[in-house]
Amino acid sequence: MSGKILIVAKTITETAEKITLNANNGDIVFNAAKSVKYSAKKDIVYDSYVAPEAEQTENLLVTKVICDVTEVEIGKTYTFKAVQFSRKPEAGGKELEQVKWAYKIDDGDIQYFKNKGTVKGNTVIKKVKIPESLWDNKTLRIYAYMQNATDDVRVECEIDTVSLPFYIDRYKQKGKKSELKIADDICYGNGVNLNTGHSIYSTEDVKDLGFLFNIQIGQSNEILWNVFSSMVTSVFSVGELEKVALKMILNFKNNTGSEFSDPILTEHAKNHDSTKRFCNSIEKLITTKLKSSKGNLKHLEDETIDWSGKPYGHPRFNTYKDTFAGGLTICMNDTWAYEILVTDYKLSGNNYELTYEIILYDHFGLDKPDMEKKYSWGAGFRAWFVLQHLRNYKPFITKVEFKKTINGTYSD
Amino acid sequence: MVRIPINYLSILLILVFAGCNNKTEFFELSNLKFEMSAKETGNGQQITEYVIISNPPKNLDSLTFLIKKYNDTTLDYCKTQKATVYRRFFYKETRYTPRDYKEDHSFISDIIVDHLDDLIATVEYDKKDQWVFKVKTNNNPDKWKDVQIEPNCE
Repeated sequence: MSGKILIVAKTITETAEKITLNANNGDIVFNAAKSVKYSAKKDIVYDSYVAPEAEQTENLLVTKVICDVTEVEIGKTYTFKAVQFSRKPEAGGKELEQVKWAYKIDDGDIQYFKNKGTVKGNTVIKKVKIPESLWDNKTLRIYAYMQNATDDVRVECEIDTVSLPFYIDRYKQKGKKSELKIADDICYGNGVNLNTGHSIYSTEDVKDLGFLFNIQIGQSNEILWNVFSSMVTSVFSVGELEKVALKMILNFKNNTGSEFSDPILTEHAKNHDSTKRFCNSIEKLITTKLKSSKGNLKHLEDETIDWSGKPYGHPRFNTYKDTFAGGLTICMNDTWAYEILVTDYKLSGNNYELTYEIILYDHFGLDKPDMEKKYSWGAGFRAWFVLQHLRNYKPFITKVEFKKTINGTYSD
Repeated sequence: MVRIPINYLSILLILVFAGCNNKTEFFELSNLKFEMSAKETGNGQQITEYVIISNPPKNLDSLTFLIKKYNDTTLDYCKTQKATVYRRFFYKETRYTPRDYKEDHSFISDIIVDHLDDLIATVEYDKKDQWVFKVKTNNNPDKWKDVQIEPNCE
């Protein structure tokens, strides 16, 4: 502290509710040509000197950093603020301009930002864009400091990443024709149209499909099962798929409605040209997205259920060979719904190894539109339809599930 | 020298040129239009449309220009933004995908997605609120050209 104040006047009177005189490093001297008078309504207290607060000359330190969010997303920009300091910063902002910034990813070393923040009043603001390279990290800590970045003064954010497994494509839902309704071909009943739930066709509705249905309506269950089975084995399946088809008929006959999977069926479906083509399209989609996002898996995630389908369609097993010289068509004519998930991902430098899982669903059941095509000409199909919609046998969902692994690089 | 009467010559020319109609036309397959409400999907509205293009120009820029022009006149970009997922697929006209193409759902079925080779352009409004317009280059399924769409919805 330096300087001098000299007040000279004939009379000086100071009036205030409270007056304090401090001499930090010396005496207070009262000199009077006549007398020095003290008067107080209460006491005059001596020997009670307490040193007043020191002048604010210590170094300024940042004591608090904040951010509006606790979770950050890759590619987005967030604002971090140094809002509290060890003392009142000097006016004008010159002092606050010296605030520096640093960051730490997970348990790594503290790294330093080259650029400082901007000063607004008594706050220093730092905008940080979360780079793509952090997609597989978990936490980001941001430090504001004057001399050293310390863990006492930092803000920690979770990095929003995907956790395995996750969906990359979903087409329709198994067993449903919309979010609200059961698919018609998975419905079943005893000939009463309830207009709701799973019982959708009355006996009259079935009769209206063609006079030939009168034959099956009059037959016993045993005969219907025989007619259905013999059609499947004599016309629509051969070899190992014939055994699968018979297992499916048995599953239908057991009337549990339980989901059906079979390794032989899976192998045939997986190796079908239509599935290979579908997988090629999925792999192109994956590689394109990973390349453009520098390997950021988050760009692949897509939870939405797509009810109309992507341009690359879905696996279908309906060639003449599948129908009459194999058995895929009778087991799994088409794909009603599918799900594709990423189940594993390994990075080594710019190279990745990604495993995805494909789950295909179809319905082992018939509905009216099936019959209105050419199916109704086959006694076996009519038997199947009658068993399902008039004799209460539950159709079921067929599931084909397999994994594939691809390798690639996400930058040139 | 054989003299062909002028009337016969005219008819012949008309027939020749009629058979060489290279006009590019767009045919929307309205019977395949797919529309599902947000309530039905449990998510957002989903719309998919299919269009057949007759005589698509081989020149990629010309094809892009024509499709963009068709979209600009038939798509209300700003209104469509209310849909969560909107897609429009363009197929070139072939014997397998004629202008009056209908799906066949019988036992040996035929549906539009079976004809991926004839797909030549897609327009999609994705969940990131962006329009994505892609045109297949020289019918190479590996190469697609991205075309920018920036609708002014102010």
